[in-house]
Order: sequence, then structure tokens, then C-alpha cells
Amino acid sequence: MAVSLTIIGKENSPLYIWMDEGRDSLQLQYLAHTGLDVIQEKISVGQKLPGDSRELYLGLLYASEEYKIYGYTTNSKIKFIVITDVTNAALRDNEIRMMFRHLHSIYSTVVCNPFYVPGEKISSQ
Amino acid sequence: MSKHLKHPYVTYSGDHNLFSSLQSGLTSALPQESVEWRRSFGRPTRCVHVDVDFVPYSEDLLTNINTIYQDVETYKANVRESLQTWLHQLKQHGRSDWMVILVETPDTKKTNKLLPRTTVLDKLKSDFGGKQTERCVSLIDPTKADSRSIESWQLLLSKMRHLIMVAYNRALNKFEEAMRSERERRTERNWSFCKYFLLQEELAQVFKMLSLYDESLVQYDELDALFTQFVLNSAAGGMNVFPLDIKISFFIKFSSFSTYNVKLDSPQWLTNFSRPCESWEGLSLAKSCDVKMQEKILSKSISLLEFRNYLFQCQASLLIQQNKPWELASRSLTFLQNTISELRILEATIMNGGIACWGFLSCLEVIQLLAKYKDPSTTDSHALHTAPLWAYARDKLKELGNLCGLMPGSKTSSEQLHVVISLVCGMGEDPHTDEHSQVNNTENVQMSPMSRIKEALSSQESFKKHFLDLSEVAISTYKHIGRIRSARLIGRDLALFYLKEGSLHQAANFLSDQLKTFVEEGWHLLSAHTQTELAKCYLETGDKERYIKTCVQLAACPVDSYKEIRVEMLNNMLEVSKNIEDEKTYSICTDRIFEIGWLKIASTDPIIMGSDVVVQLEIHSNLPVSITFDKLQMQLKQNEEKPKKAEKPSLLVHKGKSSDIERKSSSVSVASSHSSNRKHSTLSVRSSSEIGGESGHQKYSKVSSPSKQERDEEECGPKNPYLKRLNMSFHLDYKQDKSLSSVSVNCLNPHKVLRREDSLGGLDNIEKGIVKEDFSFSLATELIEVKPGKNVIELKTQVTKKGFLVGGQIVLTKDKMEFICNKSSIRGKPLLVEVISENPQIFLGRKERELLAGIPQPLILTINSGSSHIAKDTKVNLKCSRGLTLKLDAEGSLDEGKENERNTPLGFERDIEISLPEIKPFSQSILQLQALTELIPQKDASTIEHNVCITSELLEEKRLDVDIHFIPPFVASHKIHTANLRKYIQVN
Repeated sequence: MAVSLTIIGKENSPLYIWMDEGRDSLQLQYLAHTGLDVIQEKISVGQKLPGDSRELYLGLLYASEEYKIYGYTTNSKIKFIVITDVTNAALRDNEIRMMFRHLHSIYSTVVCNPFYVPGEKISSQ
Repeated sequence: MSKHLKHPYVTYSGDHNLFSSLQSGLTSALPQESVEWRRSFGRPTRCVHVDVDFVPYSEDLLTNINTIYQDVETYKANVRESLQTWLHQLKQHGRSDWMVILVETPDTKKTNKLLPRTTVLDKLKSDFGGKQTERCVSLIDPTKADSRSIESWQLLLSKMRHLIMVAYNRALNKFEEAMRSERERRTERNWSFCKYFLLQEELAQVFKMLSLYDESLVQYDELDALFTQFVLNSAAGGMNVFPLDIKISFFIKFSSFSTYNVKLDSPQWLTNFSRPCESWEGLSLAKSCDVKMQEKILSKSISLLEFRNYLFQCQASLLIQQNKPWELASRSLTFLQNTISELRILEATIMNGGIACWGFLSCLEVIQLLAKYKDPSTTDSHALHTAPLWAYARDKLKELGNLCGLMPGSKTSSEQLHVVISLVCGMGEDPHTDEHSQVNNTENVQMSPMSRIKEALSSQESFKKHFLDLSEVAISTYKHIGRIRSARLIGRDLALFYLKEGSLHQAANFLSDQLKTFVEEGWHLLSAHTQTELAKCYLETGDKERYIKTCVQLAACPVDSYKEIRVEMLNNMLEVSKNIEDEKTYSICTDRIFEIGWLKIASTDPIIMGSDVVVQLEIHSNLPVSITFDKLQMQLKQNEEKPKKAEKPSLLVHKGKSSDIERKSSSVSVASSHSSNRKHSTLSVRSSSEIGGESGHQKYSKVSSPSKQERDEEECGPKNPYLKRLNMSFHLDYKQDKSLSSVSVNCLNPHKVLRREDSLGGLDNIEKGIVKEDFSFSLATELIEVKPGKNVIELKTQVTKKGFLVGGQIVLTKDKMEFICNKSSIRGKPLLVEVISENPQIFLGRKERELLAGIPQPLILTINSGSSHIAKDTKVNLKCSRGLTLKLDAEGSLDEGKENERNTPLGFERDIEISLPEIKPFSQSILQLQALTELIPQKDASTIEHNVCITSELLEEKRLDVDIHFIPPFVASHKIHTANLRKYIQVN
């Protein structure tokens, strides 16, 4: 189980933030926000290489002593950030990848909702 | 193959003297060329340089044998025998690699030429070679420098290399086999990782010796992964299937790690690593191979930290040898974090701060090492990794600072002093002491990690110095690689440090930097948190202006959890603002506090100069409570010319003007644009001939204006670019016979719509400063309460000039605070007011008939009120030229007529004064007059010209002259005819 999940819009502003209860949401948000740095770095490196840009999963962005921060970005520059505990060995790279895929499809569903205004905050039911 | 010695041994026997003459040549020549190493298990072939030591033959050692025989006829006599015993001995030792070198002199060669197949070499080959005749090599005396002897020397070398390699391969295969079987036993109770570690390390050393650094690294990496896995498994406890680290699965290809789902409780040997760590020496990358550590591993007395250090040092030195310092850099942080988590998992007790010391030392060690390998071209790839390392070291130092009471604001207790002392003890000796003293003179003085940490821990001042130093380096390195957010995060931490220290200004600088990032990107929780701290800062420094601004921003932030703080902040702010003493007013930008939803003019009537304009505006307050403002003003700017159409999504108030629907047409198609008015676009498709005449130009036709409400909604839409309507139109294509061919919908301005938006700008920008503009002319209202959420407010002013007025800034005033909303932040359409002022006009005219002189004729006096209101009994004077008299028609205005009649019986006067009725703006009043002209003698039928002078206050020039022409009804003429004496007058 991830600790935190953030969906970040094109302009780097958060669209949706979920934190595991009882966590220091401030710290996690700082981590997620800092993760944007690495995402930007990875995206811009990707632009230099004309190779396959289909891979949306960016892998481990960075790790602190307690958390691992993973990133994913859609083609429309919507970013997903998932934070997990370092000690959580059950979440391997593949699981994280699947998690992101799933998240992406959920996000697509949200955007398809005609009552949702793109770029506005998303709320979960 | 002992690992303490550098090269493998090759023994020699036979004629020792002869061999020693060859030995030096062989030792130096062998490694000069590489030899191809074909390996088993499908591993790629590698080119390897062999380097060997030759030792005399003895019974126990050795893999590879090398014998030398002087060629003589005595071969048959005794040499053969001794060779046989030698080979026999080898076999007993299980050595299967040997080689016989036959040294020939050119003379013997000559003799042997006559007797082929009977040379000593042939004999040797037939006696011992068996299938391996290549093991017998003849060498022509190397002291001679002719081509033959060189050739044979080269042949010897290449054969020797090859054979050594074969021997290697054999030995290694055997060794790997043993290693693997040892590994397979890892689930057994008495299996020890330490033992296995040393085993595999030997293999790594062999590869290293062969300069196969990458292969060697793989061995260490395998060990690393294996160890990590053991630790993880022990943490996972009862789990059966253990997740494989990617790293391991990568190595599976290589070594048969495949079956890894083994039941493992924490094995016996692992508990050794759980013992308390008593020292926390940092990495020391200078030494590559630490014998002391190997001994410790052997004796199983190594601590986890030491073990990890050792392993990483080995890996590091291999990476450096492969010239991959960046990889070392990238591994470092993971290594540090991983080790710490392993310490946690194994519950190895370590003194508080020990880990921090170790982390700090190791970080700096790596960084210093990297600095050595830095050359201009690789600066960047290093910085990418060193930045997090710097940050990590900084964190660790901070941890130590907290622990030892070195942070500002705290005092070091004696207990903490003890902590410092024991920490310093635990760090052991500085590995850089010798080196440091040497380097000191040549290079710029760079402190070794150890001396750095010692100095930092020595006093608060030096701690501060080092801490700030590190912070600065970390921030600048992060900035260098473009990780601004990471840099800002450190900045925030630094700000907290400054806060503790009391350097509020510095703290405020860092915090406001960070705030900017957060606000720009809309991270509300983070910005709220930063603002809370910033507000504290400003309050302390007495920077009231900034304090107020920050408080208001905070009060308006949309974070639920901050509700109470928001109210509190707002109250604080109001309190402070009341007590502002100086004259200055504080201008605060309304961004994110108040949003102006829309603006519109309340009345639908035209606005006449001098009257009041009432404008409604919707204001959305994000503040948590209601605030009563002293005043709300909206600036108005005079605009002489009507703004261009592009700017005119206006609230234009003008009678009869309705929005036009553009209809673009061409000879083949008729397109109706303006999607927003789709409902109203009563599109009529005209025949092409009709349209053809217009040659494709635009034609405007008026269609009733769409209901204003709807238009407002559309144009006040949110700023969100996703919600912009597309300007679609439909397109009709006709065939030549004018029948419809196709209908399509297309977008008129795809370039504009699909244009790439500048993605650099954030959602919200913090405006640096906001300046109140000239508010001499403004719409205003006073004492207005603004509730949280939507408010509709009416503003009023009197307009005194005609022309177009454009709405500008909006200002809410409260005490000394002015909340200013820039024009650009106002959503919806800009306010545009047209103030109309038309002067009244007076015309005097006739009816359709020509005027005749001599009889009363009707005249019409028309008064257009223009934009003004004409009060009752406004006077108009009409003064006629001589011969013309006027009278107000009784029908037109009965009362006045009577009045006039009193003066003259006929009522006709040369000078009359008319009192007007009340006339409303933009209407006209028509008065009928009667005009009577005197008939004056006239010779011809030319018209009689008269002049009426109209004077009135209403007129701009006060005086208006009107010429009136009368036609004489008849013309009388006379002629005198003379007939003789008679005169006749003929009158016509």
C-alpha cells in the first residue's frame, strides 16, 4: 500500500492529493513537490532523445531514508507521484508500474466526465 | 592463487640457470599482448593480459608447470626419465597444465636439418605430447637477434599465454563450481555468509588481477545483493517467496541464482551482524583492499557498518578503475540509505548520532573522491549525484547538531559534551591524516571529512559555519542541476535554522523564495505552511506591511485544515492594521483574496453626461469572515476614442447598437460564424449570384442581439483555457449547378486555438508590487460589507465628461490598507461606459409648400433636446429681419399664442419669445409658427429673402441665423407705352 498519491496538473499544481491517514501530510507533500524536480529532469532528458517516448513510467524518482518516491507522467503532462515506505518490500517496481497504469486509467475516466472541468481539482468520493 | 599476492604462479623446473636467463624476458613480455579467453557457460570471450610470477618448482603449489631442457643428445639418456617423473608428480597433484620448452642453439638446428623427425622436439612430442603436442615448444637461443629466434620467441610467448589462460580457465571453472555448491548450501544452518563472502571475493580478486574490473564488480555486486536479500528476508520473517531485487534478477543470467524461494528465518550468521556497532568510521575510499577487514570477516567479528563499508570500498575502487566515477556517485546515496535501513532491520544498536557521523563522513569522502575525478566535461554528471549527497551530508550534520545541542538557541549540556566525545571516539582515526598534510601545501586546503566533522562538533560557532557552508553548497549544486524545488526545500530548512538563530531577515528571504514556488504552482497546504512561518518572521521584525500581506494571503488560502488559523490570522491582521501609525497606506494585491466575477452597468438607459452611472460588480471573497470596508472604488479612465472592436466585448451602452453577426460568404460557400450566438444565427443561405456580387467580402447584417444575460455568462467564463469555446462554423459546398454538394463544420481559427500555450508561467504569479493608479475619477461606494463568498456591490459616480470610460483598477479600502485589484485580474468583460452628450438643436423650417410672401405662412420650429433635459419655460427668441413678422401658431401652443396676441392685434411680431414645453432627452418638440411677410415692390419674380435670428440658451453658439425665402405671389410690372402724344401705362 502506498503512503501517498498525488496527481499533478500540467502547470505543476496539484489536482488531487491523497495521504495515508496519520502521516505527516506536510512532509509528504514536500516530498512530492520535490519529486517534480526529478520528473522535469527526466522529461526534458527524454525530449533530447528522439527514441521511444511511450514509456510513461519514470521509475524511482528518488528515495529518502523513510520513503521512496515514484513518478509517472502522461502524454499531456499530467504527473502522478506515488510515495511508499522504504521498508515496504512487497511493492516492487512492477507493482508500482501497475499501480500507475491503473491510476492513469482512472484519471482518464475522470477527465471523460463531462461535468469535470479539466484543470480543476479532483475530488474522490 | 592466494589473494594476497598479485599474480598467479608458474613454476619451473629443469635447468634453473637456463630458465632464469629467460625469466625476466618472459615476465615483461607476457603481459604486453592480450590473449583471447574463451570461457565456458556461453560467457562472452574476453581479451586478457596475463601477468605471472615464476617460482621454482616445489611440491605443493601451482597450477601451471613449465620445464626447460637443454637440448643435447643426452636427452634420451636422463632427461626423458626426469621429465617422466615430473609429469607423474604433476598428475599426482592433479595438475594437468604443463609445458616443455626446448631451447635450441642454431648449431644444433643445422645438424638436425639433415635428420628430420629425429630432433629432440620431435622426440619430446612423441614421448609426452600425446594429443597436446602444442605443450612442447622449441625456442631458438633468444640471445641471438636474428629473425628466426625472434619468431620462435614470439611463438613461445603466445603459446605460453594461451596455455596460461587454459590453466586459468580450468582453475576458475573448478573454483566457481565449488563456490556455487557452497552457495547452494546457504539454507543450511551452519552455512556462513562470511565464509562464502571470502570465497566469492577470491573470484572477484582473480578477475581484478586479470584487469577484468567489470567482472570483478559483478562478483561484489552479487555479494551485495545476496546480503541485502538475506537481510530483507529476515525482516520479512515467515514469508515463503521472497521478492527478488531487480539487481539480483539481473545477475541471475550470469550466475545460477535462480531458485531463490527458500524458507529462511534469520540465519545464525546474520545475528552476528546484529551486534552493536561500536565504531562508525566513515568510508575510506583511498585504500582498496583492507586486509584487516578480511580478517574480521573471517573471524566473523565484523560489524554491519564495517562490512558494508568494506564492500562498498571494494566496489568503489573497481568503479574508479573502470573510470566510472559517476556510477560510484550514483550508487553512494543508495548505499547509505540501504545500509541505514539494514541497520534498522537487523536492530543493530548503535549510539545515537553514530549513523549520522558515519553518513556524514561517507558522503564527504565520496564527494572528495569525485572532486578528484572531476574534469570540465563531466562536471554535470557528477553534480547530478553530488547534489543529493551534499544535501544528505547536511541532513546528517543537522541531526548531529540537534543531538549535541549545537543548534542555535540551545545550550550544550555536559551530557551532550559526553556524546560529542564518544562520537568522535567512535569515528576512529582519520584515514586522511598523512595525505592531508602532504596535500596541504600543494592544493588549496580542503579539510578531510573527519577534521571537518570534528571541528563542526567543537562549538556552536563552528557548527554554524560548517552547517551554513554545507547548506550553501547543497543549494547551489541543486540549482546548478536545475532542481529548484529541492534547493528551495533546503532553503526552507535553512530558514528554520535562521529562525532559531534569530536572523529573521535571512529566514524571511528563504521562506518568501519558497512561497513563490508554492503559490505559483498552487500547492496550497505548503504555501499556507510557509506563510504561517513567514508571518511569524515579519511580526518579529516589525515589518507590518509584509505581515499584513502575508496574513491576508494566509487568511484567504483554501486549505480546510487551516480554518482556525485563517480566522486568527485575519483578526491579527486587522488588529495590526488599526495600529499603523505612519501616514503611508499599504497596498495589497487582491490576487487570491478577492476575485471580481463580473462587472456590468446597472441601468439599461443611455448614460448622459452629468448623470449618475451605477455599476454592479460581483466580488468573491476568499476570506473566512465578513469584513466591512470603508470604501470600494473603481477607477475610470477617459478614453477619447472608441476602443477597437477587438477590445469591445463590452458593456457598451448605446441605443440601437446590437451585436452583429458576422456572415462570411464567398461565391461557393456561406459560412456563419460566431458560435456563441449559434441560437440566433438565423442563417439564410443566399443564392450564389447574389453573393457573387459581394466578391467574397464580409457583409454585416443585424440580427437581434442575443439576450444579454447569456452573453455575459459566456464571456465571463473562467480563465481556464480548456473551457474556451471553439469558433466553429459550418461550411456549405455547392456544385457548379448550384446544388448542395457537402456540408461540413470547421474551425475558423485553428491556429489560434491550437497554438501552444506558454507552459512556463504558473497558474498564479506573485506580482512584485502593485501601485495604486490615479483614482481622481472613480466609481465608488462606502462602508460596504464583503462576506465570504459571492457579493454583489453597486458602485456609483457622476459622469461629467462625454466619451468612453474604461474601468480600471478596483480598490477596497480598510483603515490604512488598500486592496488593489488590477485590471488584468478582473474576470469577465472589461467595463466600458459610453457617456453621451448631444447639444440641443433648433431648426426652423417650412412645410412642403414654398412660402408665399404677403399672406401668413406656416413655419415649423423643431427643437431636439439631444442628451439634455429641457425644462419647461425655457425661452427661445426669434428675431426677424425687417418685413417679416412671426406668430406662434395657436394650435402648436395655445397658451403662448394667447400671450403673444395681447401685444399685437394680429399677433404677428418681428420679435417673439417662445417658452418651450418640457422636453425629455433624445426627443423633439415641434412648434408651428405663422410667418407674414410684407409685400415689397419688386421688379422681378425673385424670391424675397428674410432672416430669422434664433437665440436661446440651449444653443451652443447662442445665436442661429436662418434664411427664409418667400416667393412673391404676384409680380406687378408696368410699362409706359407712348403713342404720339399719348402715354399709356400698362400694368401687368
